[in-house]
Amino acid sequence: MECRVVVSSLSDYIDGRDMWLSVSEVREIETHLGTCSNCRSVKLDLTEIRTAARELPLHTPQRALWTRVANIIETELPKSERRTRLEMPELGWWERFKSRKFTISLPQLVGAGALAMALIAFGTSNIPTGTPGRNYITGGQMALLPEEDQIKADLERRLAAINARKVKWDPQIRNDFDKHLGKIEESLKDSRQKLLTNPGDMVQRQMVLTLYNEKRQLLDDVERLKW
Amino acid sequence: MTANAINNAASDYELAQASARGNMAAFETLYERHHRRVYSLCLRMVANATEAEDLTQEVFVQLFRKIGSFRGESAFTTWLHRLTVNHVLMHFRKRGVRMEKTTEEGEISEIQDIVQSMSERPRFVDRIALDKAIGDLPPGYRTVFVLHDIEGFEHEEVADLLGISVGTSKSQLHKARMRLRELLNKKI
Repeated sequence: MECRVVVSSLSDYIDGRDMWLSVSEVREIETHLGTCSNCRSVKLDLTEIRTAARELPLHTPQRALWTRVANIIETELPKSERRTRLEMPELGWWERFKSRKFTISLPQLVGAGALAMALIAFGTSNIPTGTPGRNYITGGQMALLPEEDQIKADLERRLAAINARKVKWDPQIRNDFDKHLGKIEESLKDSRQKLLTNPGDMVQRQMVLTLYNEKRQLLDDVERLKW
Repeated sequence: MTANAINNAASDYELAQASARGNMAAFETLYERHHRRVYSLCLRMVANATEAEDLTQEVFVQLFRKIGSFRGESAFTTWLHRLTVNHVLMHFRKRGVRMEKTTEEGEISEIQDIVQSMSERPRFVDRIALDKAIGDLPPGYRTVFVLHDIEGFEHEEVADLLGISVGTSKSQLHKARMRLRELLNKKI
């Protein structure tokens, strides 16, 4: 029997020679393997691959995957049956919140996407039509956009109220909140700095507005839960 | 005994029954027990982590919807296993993934493998390298290899699942193994 024929039969020989091969075929293969080291090497390799395949480790998906599953299923549960859930609804929401992908994760892809998002968030009518590149100097810190001071003042007032209550939160929720808020503020600082360097940068301008909106939504969510 | 402890001690069948009544905690326990197996199967069949996560999510949502139909005639793992495989295969059909055809080129490559192996010694198969190499297989080869060698389906079952003949299943498996051998040789 030629090597080519033997090699093509090796998987059948390994998996179930009694099932897939005739007695004479098995005999011929074994005779050939007894004299051909190359074919023996192939047989050994294929056997090892099959053995190793059965012992491959399990992989683990991201932890947030359960949150995604639970969110979908939740909407399909009748209201009367939702009482059987053991986890706190707020925590379920918080798990969803943790898996949100912030726009701040895409600063390097800022462009049309960020601009579109900002327009959707604010609506074109909400965007002041101040002259691009003009800086509004108020107080001790330069406001880079019209009404930025008003936006910042409102957010800071709300955040102060939340910070006062935050000490009583579950530590994990508090840490997650701080982490998300920190990401927003870091990106906001970065975008403001770029806008300061180049006041005519419309993309950064929209990015700043988007980030303020992200921060506002974060505080909205927390206030809605009355934590 | 806490609710968590009760759930952890329950059988898959009991958890399935509770889940069918809308008990999310019971379903979450089922998820914790089986999500890695489902995800691993999806990952090895599609060779893409994001896609595998999406498929895993869809499998569990589908599981929740159908869990009331599980009567316990087979093991829950077997039932879930089949559900997962069917879902991934449906995904392939939607994407238009086709099985590789057996051609003369495949036969020629076997001879080349023999020539190459003449200067090689038997080696220990690195499981991490094997996992990576499986991802590098053509989709059709990969599907048969995953179903047969990793998940343990027999050729008749593979043929039935994929709508191919037993002969094609065997041929694809052999070619998958030979390709893996080639890929693993290159990594050494």
